[in-house]
Amino acid sequence: MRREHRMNDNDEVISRLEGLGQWQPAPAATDRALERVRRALREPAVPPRSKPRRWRLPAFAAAVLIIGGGLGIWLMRSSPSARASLAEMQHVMKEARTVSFRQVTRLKGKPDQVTRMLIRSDGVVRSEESDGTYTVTDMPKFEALLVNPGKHEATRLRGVNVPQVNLYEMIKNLPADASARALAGKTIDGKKAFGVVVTLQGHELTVWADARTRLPIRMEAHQEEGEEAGDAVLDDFHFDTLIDSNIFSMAAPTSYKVKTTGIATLPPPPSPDQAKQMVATPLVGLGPVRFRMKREEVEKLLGKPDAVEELGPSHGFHLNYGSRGFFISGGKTNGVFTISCVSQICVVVRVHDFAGRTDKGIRLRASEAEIIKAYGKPDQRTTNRGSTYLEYRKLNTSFTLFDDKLVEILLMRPPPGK
Amino acid sequence: MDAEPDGLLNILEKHGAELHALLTRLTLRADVAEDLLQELFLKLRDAKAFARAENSVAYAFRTAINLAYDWRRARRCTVTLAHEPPTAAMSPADSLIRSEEVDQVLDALEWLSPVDREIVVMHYLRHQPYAEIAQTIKKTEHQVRGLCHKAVGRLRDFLGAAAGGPE
Repeated sequence: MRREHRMNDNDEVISRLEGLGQWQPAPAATDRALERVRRALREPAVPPRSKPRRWRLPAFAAAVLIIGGGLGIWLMRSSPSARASLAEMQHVMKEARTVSFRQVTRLKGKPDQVTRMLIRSDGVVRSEESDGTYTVTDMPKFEALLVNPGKHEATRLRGVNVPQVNLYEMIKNLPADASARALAGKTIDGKKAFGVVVTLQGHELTVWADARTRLPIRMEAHQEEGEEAGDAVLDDFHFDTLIDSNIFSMAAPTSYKVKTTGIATLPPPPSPDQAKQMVATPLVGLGPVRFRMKREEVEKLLGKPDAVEELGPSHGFHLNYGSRGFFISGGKTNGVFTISCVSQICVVVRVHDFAGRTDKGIRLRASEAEIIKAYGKPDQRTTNRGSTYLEYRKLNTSFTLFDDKLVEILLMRPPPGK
Repeated sequence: MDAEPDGLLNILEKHGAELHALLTRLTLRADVAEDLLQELFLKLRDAKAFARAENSVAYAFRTAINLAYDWRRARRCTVTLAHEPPTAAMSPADSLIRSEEVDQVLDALEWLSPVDREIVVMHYLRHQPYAEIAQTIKKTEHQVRGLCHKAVGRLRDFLGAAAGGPE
């Protein structure tokens, strides 16, 4: 009897739980949520760049990432008491179609870097440096145009690995978790402002918004340690002002010398059988390719690369086989001298992760322990901004890891006689 | 991207819909569930523990529950954003979802231990049999039944329902 009585009391709780368990979200809502995750997972995680590789994006990339990534993380960590403020900002931002602002970056021991950013809601971004150079990036098309008016030159980069961030979208899709804290209001440039502080990858980002318009008017970031210790301040925000659409043009100015590099469309990745043949062997080469082979021999063995870049006046070559996850560089006379097998996470251009392995079975995402188990203790181990480098001098080989996952295998030509 | 059988993409494709449904049930907010689902997968992508987990699917669901409860805790301190009121056109299920009573039960779940909460959520919101839950949390089926029953009893107490007699 007693047990039955307890069961009846529990029944109400159980019936609520069971009722909730029967409920299903709308299929369209689920589809949208899943697609959003797929898009997010396609974006590479953005580690600090360990060493410059191939092309370096100008400062705007960092700025956009600070804005997009910072706001993204900010949004995901907004505090409950701040969410109303953020939601208001979100609503207002949704209506704007362009935003421009100034970014001043102050690094210790270096002159201030001032960048003017103009962002259009369709993903085209223009950044202007104080030296007159500018870059227009079409993020949805993975393309960037770097223009140097001083030299009358422009470089078009195709297949650039830019994160597919959309400032408006990020604000619009406001996650509801909470860790940010609201700040006491203050006056900025004569305007009453409210603010929130969020933590982005261990760094605080302070965002101030106009109390009347609910639009951001200032953002502040500070980094205390490391190579880039300093501050970044974003201000002079303008929303939805009339901007000449020509400034977002991806066409180089007339009469400029234009160099085009990279590939517009990344070919599909290799098949599993093709990937099996890609064995990177220190001191030897990659698959059928050997160090010192001439460019023609390499292309005969591997087929045409996705893109080719000639290096310097001596006509060295840089063969982009990014769709297969590797790059081969060499000299016209002495042939192949470096082979780099990479993960998307560490290169600026779009690639497919290298699906092959080393002669000892090491693949991308291997841990440091696994590499050491295979190749022994490295001759040198260094770390820099989250990346770890293991160098094996006798093998002329180095392994780069980020977050204890292998992201690059670099083979170098052995000295003559070896 | 991880190409292993229990890799992230695999989990998304096989269990993404269920994870989304669970997040929606725990938050009662479609917009929040969508955001938390993205947050969940980005978190899993970066989590070493996930890469090492013996049962990565269970890990994912546990993380989802924790994310939802983090959100619920935080939400208690703020003015709730606009929430659609029940209307006559809603189905009984929709009415249930929007009812305050369901919200109270979900709030009450927060007061359970993480293990008890996980058992209740897995059994009632994910419809998992006790045997399967037992395998996931490495207890016997008998233990899981007992824990679940006690947990529901605590929910009752928390909700202030009519007290049962002594055991």
